Parts: sequence; C-alpha cells; structure tokens
Amino acid sequence: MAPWPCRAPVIGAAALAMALAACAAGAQSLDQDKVKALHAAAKKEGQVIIWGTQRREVEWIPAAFGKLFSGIDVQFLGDNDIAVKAIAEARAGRHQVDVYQNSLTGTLPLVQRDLLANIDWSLFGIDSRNIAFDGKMAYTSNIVYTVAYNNKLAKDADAPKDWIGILDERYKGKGASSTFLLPRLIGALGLAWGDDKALQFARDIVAKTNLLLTRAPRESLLQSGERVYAFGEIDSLIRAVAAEGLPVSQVVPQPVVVGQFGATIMKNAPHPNAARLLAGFLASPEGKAARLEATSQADYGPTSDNEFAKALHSGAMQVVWDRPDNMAAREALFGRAAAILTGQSR
Amino acid sequence: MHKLDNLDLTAKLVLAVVTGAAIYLIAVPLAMLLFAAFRGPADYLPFEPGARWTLEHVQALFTDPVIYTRILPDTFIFVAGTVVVAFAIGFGLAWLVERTDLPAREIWFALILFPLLVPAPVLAIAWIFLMGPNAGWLNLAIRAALGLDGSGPINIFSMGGLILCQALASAPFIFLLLSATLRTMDPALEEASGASGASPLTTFGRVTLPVLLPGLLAPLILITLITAEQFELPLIIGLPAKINVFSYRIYFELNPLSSLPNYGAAAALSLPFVVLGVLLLMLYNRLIRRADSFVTMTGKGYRQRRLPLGAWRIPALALAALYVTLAAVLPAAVLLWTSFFGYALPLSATSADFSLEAYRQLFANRAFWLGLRNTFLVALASALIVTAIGGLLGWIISRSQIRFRHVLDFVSVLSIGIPAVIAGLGVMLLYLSLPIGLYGSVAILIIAYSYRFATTTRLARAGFLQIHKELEEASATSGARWLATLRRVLIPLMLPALSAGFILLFIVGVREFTIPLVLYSQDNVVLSVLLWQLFQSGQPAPSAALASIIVAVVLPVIFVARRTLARRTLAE
Repeated sequence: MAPWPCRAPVIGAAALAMALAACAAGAQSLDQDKVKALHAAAKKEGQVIIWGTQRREVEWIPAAFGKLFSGIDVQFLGDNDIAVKAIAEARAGRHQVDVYQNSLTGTLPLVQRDLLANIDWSLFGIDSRNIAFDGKMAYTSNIVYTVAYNNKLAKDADAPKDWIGILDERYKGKGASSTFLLPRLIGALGLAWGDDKALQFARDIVAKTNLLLTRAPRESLLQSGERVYAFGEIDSLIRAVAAEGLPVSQVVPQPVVVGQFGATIMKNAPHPNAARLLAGFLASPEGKAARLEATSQADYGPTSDNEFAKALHSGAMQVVWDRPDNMAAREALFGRAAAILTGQSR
Repeated sequence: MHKLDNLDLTAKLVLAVVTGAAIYLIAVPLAMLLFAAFRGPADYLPFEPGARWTLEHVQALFTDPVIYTRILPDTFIFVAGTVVVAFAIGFGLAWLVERTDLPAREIWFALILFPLLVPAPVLAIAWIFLMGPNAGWLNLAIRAALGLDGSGPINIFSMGGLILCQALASAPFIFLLLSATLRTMDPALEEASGASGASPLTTFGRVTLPVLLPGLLAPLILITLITAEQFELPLIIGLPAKINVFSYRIYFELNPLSSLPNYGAAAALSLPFVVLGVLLLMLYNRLIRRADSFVTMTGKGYRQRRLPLGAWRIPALALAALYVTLAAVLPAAVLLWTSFFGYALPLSATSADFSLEAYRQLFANRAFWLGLRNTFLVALASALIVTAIGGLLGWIISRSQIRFRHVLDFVSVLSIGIPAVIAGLGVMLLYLSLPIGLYGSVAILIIAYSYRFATTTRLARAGFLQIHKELEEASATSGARWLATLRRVLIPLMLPALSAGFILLFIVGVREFTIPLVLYSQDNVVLSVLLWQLFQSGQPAPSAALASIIVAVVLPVIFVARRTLARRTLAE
C-alpha cells in the first residue's frame, strides 16, 4: 500500500531512506567537543524531563536519546494540555519540566509569558531557518493534514480533492474528525480563505455532513467500518497505523496545510544542561531521523531533503505554513471554529 | 436528640474536628468556584496580580442564546431521561438481588457493578463498537438476522442512544445505594401487610415504598446531580449526535481546544449546579420531615426473608442477564479482545493476530506501576476520610440538636453541586497559590477527592433514621460514653450503609478521571489518566489492556468486601 496517493507527491519508503541518508550525512552534528562537554555536564544532573502533546510523540525519546547520550534518565509526559500545565506550574513557582515540545500555537502562550530560555542552537549545527521565537525554539518536525479513509471501503479517487469537498453530499454520515485537530485545520484554512469563509465552512460541516466529531481514535472507526473517512488527520499517525496493518490510506486535499512542531527549554529548567542537550538532539538531523523511524513524523522544513518537502517548497501547490507571525491569527480563528463545531456558538 | 452541652469532651473534640475538616474540604472548592466566577480577565487566575472583580462571566452566561435554545433543553432531556431509565434499572436490579431468591446473587452483585469499575471513556468506545449505526457488532447481528440493509436499527449517536448508555453506566450507582437500604429493611412490615389481606401491589405502594422513601430519595438526588455533571459520555457519544449539555459547556470553557482555560466562565457556569443542589436539598428535607415514620430497624430482632420468585425466576434472570450483557459482558469482551488482538476484528482475525505485546508494553511502562500505586492509595485514603467524616456528619444532622447542623447538611449536599472538574480546578487554584509543596503530589489528589460527603452523609442519615433512638438511650443508660456507644452500637448497625458508601467512594476513586486530569503532573499520575493518554494517542491495545487490568484488580475487591461485610453483619 502506498501511504500517499498520486494526487500528492509520494513520500514512502524512498523518502524514508532519503531522510535516513540525510541523518547519516549530518551525523557529526552531535559529535563535537562542545556537545561532549555538555553531555558530561548533563550526566551530572542525571535526569531530564520532557513534555509533549501526545505519548506517541515523546515515549520513543528515552531509548533514542540514550543511544547517543548515556547516563541521563529521560522522563516524559504526553498530554494535549501541556501548555496549560506548564503555565500553571510556572505560576506556582514549581519548575519540573525541562524540555517543552509543542506546535507553534502551543508554544506561543509560553513565549508570551516569557517562560522559555534562549539556546545557542548553532552548537548542534542547526540551520537558522529552523529557529523561531528569537532563538527559543528549534523546529523538529511537521505534520500535514490529510483525509484518511478505509481502503477496503473507498478508493483514492473517492476521497475529496480539496477541503471544501468534504461538504459534498456523498460524504454525509461517512466521516469522522478529531475535536482537537479539525478546528486547527480550519484555523489554518482561514489563513488562505479568510475568516468568513473558514467560519462558514465550520458551520456547513455542522449543518450538512453529520460528522462524527470525537476525541476517540478515528483510525479505529475507519478500521471497523463505522466511518469511511477521517477528515483532518495527521499524516504521520496514518502512516504509523497503516504500517501496523490497518486498512487505511490518505490523501492530501488542497490547500495543503502544514503544521510546525519544535523543541524549547524552560527558563527555570531544573536540569538546564540536560535540557539543552535533549532539545539540541531533538532538533538535530540525528534526532529528526530517530523521530521519523519511531513515529513516522517527518521534517518538511526548508532544509529537509525528502521529496514531499521539496514539493511543498517548489511553489507548485498552495501550501499554508505555520509561521510564528501568523500564529496569533490562526489561534483566534480556530478558537471560534472550535466553538462552532462543538455547538458552543453559531 | 443530643444537645452540645450534654456531650462529653471526647465527643465534642471528635465532632469539632469532623466539622472543621468537612467545612475545609468542601468550602475550599466552593469558595474557589464563587471567587473565580467573579474574577477576571478570562485567562487570569483569581489570585494573580492584575486580576479584578468582574461580572463579565455571569453576564456572558445569561446573555448567550445557545444556553437557552440548545444547552438547557438538551440537558433537561438528557438528565430526565437518564434518571428515569437508570432508576428503573437500578431499583429493579437491587430489589431482585436483595429481596428475592434470585440465584447466584453474589455473582450478579459483582457483575452489575462492572460499569462503575471502568472509566467512562472506555465504556463509551466499547458501546460505539457495539451500537455504532453502520458497523456496530449488535447492528450487524440484528441486520443479518432480520435481513435488513443500510444502517441501524440502533443508533448510539442520538438522544435515545446517549440516554441508554448513560443509564447503563449510572444504574450501578442506584443499585449499590439501594442495596443497603433494601438489605436492612425489616420484612415484618410487609408480612404484616400481607397478613392483613393487602395485595403485593398494595403492600408495595402503601408499605414498602413509604418505608423506603428516605433511602430512595438520596439516590434520586444523587443520580440527578451526577447525571447533570456527566461529560464523558456526552462528549464521546453526545457531541457527534449534536447533543450539547451543560457539563460539556463547562468542560469546553476549561478545554476550549484553542487558548487557555476560562476559569471564570467555567465557574460561572457551575453556579446553576449549586442552585440545583439547594433546590433538591429543600425538596428532600420537606419529604422526610416526618422521620419517625420511616423507622424500620428497632431494638427488636428480625430475620431476613426473601421473596420467592417462583415462575418469575426465568424472566428475572433474563432481565438481569440483559443488563449485564449490555453493560458488562459485551464491553468487557471488546476490551479483552482489543487488548489481545489490537485493531483486528473478530470476523477477520486469525491466531497470528493474537499478541500479549500490549501487556508487555504496559508492564514495562514506569508510569503504569506509579499509576497503579497512586490510584489505590488515593482511592483508599479518600474513601476512608469521606466515610468517617460523612458518617459522623450524618449523626450530627440526624441525631443532635447542635445549632449549626443544618449548615453542615447544606454544605454537605453542596458537594454534589460541585462538578468534579470544578472541584479539581478549585483545589488546583488554591494549592498553586499556596507554596506548601502539595501541588503535583499524591496528597493533593487525596484532598481533592475527599469532598464528596453528600453520598455518605445521605446514606448515614437515612441509616440513622432507620435506627431508633432507644438503642442509644439504652447504651447511655447502661453507662456507656458517647464514643463507646458509637463504636459498639451505632457503627455495627450502620455497617451496611457505611460500607456501601465506602465501596462506592473507593470505586469512584479508582475510576475517577476528571479531578486527576486537572491535577496530574509527573509524579501523581493515576491509571485513568494514563489510560486516557494511551487511548487518545491511538494506542487502543495498551489502553484496553490497562482497562482490563483495572477490572481484573477491582472485581475481586468487590467480592471480598461484600462477603466480609456480610459475615461481619451476620456475626454482630
């Protein structure tokens, strides 16, 4: 099964191999004296704590990090509400988390409250194009919003070609979406469409599609046949569950919406050296390769050399990128979309 | 009735500590609730520099048309429907198990409690698999049997589907609470009615029902408020069906899916729950004013007699089996299946799909062992605290003439009106502001869980109403002090009611999800939160394995607890 349809550039085994090759090429980024010195200092601290938005996104880190940097106990927390928790702990004067890994929108509230520290990312050979928030964040991976489908019940050609297409009558009662992801997708679409059209899109979804809006794993609903399509899925998740044997495929409707994730460290990190080392690892080519292997989360940023990233940057397709300067607008819009989708406003 | 001046020093000390603890544990979340409702701006904590007094949250609540056109009507239908169906199921099952010669009652007792053991999100998912309109296992079987096409006939994503599922989930609450009342009821009254020529229906209407009224009202009040604050099933089953209830709106304000929580709006939305609690309390007090009418346990001995079902045995068994199948067996089968086979469906699975990998992953997960320890520690400690305090509050309210007993009664029942999410929030806000090291610890969970006195207080009060004062008077006349009377007379007689409350609180503690979700951090994670993380992360097999383990661990606890308690009661 090809994880990507012909409609979008293919990123399958070949792209994975290229990404791993890129890792090999940049394998020396963490093999420098300064990094070794940082490792020695981090070992004295003995521990590092990382928070991410999902267990899947952080539970692979202890093993991968431990392969390169021994002697440091990595603990993690995976939860959608880490922004709220991190801000609450900071307000209470409790400083437990070292590394904070989230999307640009999920990091913005911490930036606004000046809770994050600056890092010299050049120590890890990280390109300046992969750094945001005045040096506080380094990009680690991207997500692409897709439409997933049960490939035993539908074909690639049946899936919508653009996002507005999910309003078509033929998808009525057949779709599911995440309460967490769909508003974010609509927020991003608003950057391309304008607020009014995006919010009307949200209202039409409620009125016309009989969409199963849920926090339950949509892939389970697809696999059971309860729903045929999942609108607004994450490419890496679908690739991962497809690799586990689920009969799911995905397409990338237009415009392509790309989310940006990155690593930061807290200003009051209890293990500052270990925090810098782990954050640097996560943003390094080695860390990106390990993430891709463990979670299927790829880097589509400007320095990535996988095929899909190149296609995204080629200008051949309309792409909505997460950027630090459009995060506030997107966040405001997806908040309104969330209220409409969940029936809290009209 | 005891006056404060007549009590000995020990009694005064004990009651003072209990009163102080109750007020502290309940008043803190309530004070935070009220305080936060009138503090702003939206993303400010109440104590934070820059926060100010404001009416914006209350104004926003009362001027939002969605509240009146959608949320209130949906909430009313959901709560009313659930209470009616759950009460019918719970009462029927409790009566069958406690008052009739239904075979294998111990097994039914445990099986009926199954939905209480499993965190609600897991049940919801299991029921979606079973009753999903397109591919639900039950729908597939019905369509195949009847030769139907299309979807349905059962649609879980409807108001009826939501009410059915919530009632299935809530019926064990009713069952457990009514079991204690039915178990301690003296059958002599019913026998006397029958001997006087009354028909079984007349006996039920004129004797059984009035006698049980205090014991029925407490669960009725409880289930109404518990249903009103439910958000897990409304979230997972109701929201896709475009059903929007009040509790979800509160949850939405705390988890707006975008920016930071609006604590003030959530608190303001919670105020109607408090009003509802007050109204129900007033109704309750009015109905039980003539308390002496309901005394069913006196100093005289009585023997338990069970109604022979006779020809009704098979229908009764079928009824119990239907509930247990829908609420326990099938969801458990889905959980077990998923834990062993992951995504593979029964019709297409092969032996190659069978795997213990989910359990291996779970046992290798450090968070699992930490969560296991924390879960039981918090559930046990909080259940003990609440049972002890709630039982004594029940005594103060029903047996003493202490002036502030009505205030305690009022405060106690208010705990029902505080949704778990708000209680957790209140505790969080307080201990974030108090630098005493409790935030992020297991202790903060114990404190946060220990506010639900209403359950135990109601049960204890109903229990005390059934124990005639002559027993305490006899003990005192024989020279026993207050503590000795409490230990040797009241507690043994109250054991069924208190143990029912303890079991309920323990189970609620084990499956509690909302409070730890608000308060959890690195070191105080509990199993329900871990399960939710696994589930949301798209790891159904490990989350199903965890749910199966929770059930496997807690189910024997129910058996052991009930058998032990039955023996002790018999020995006394």
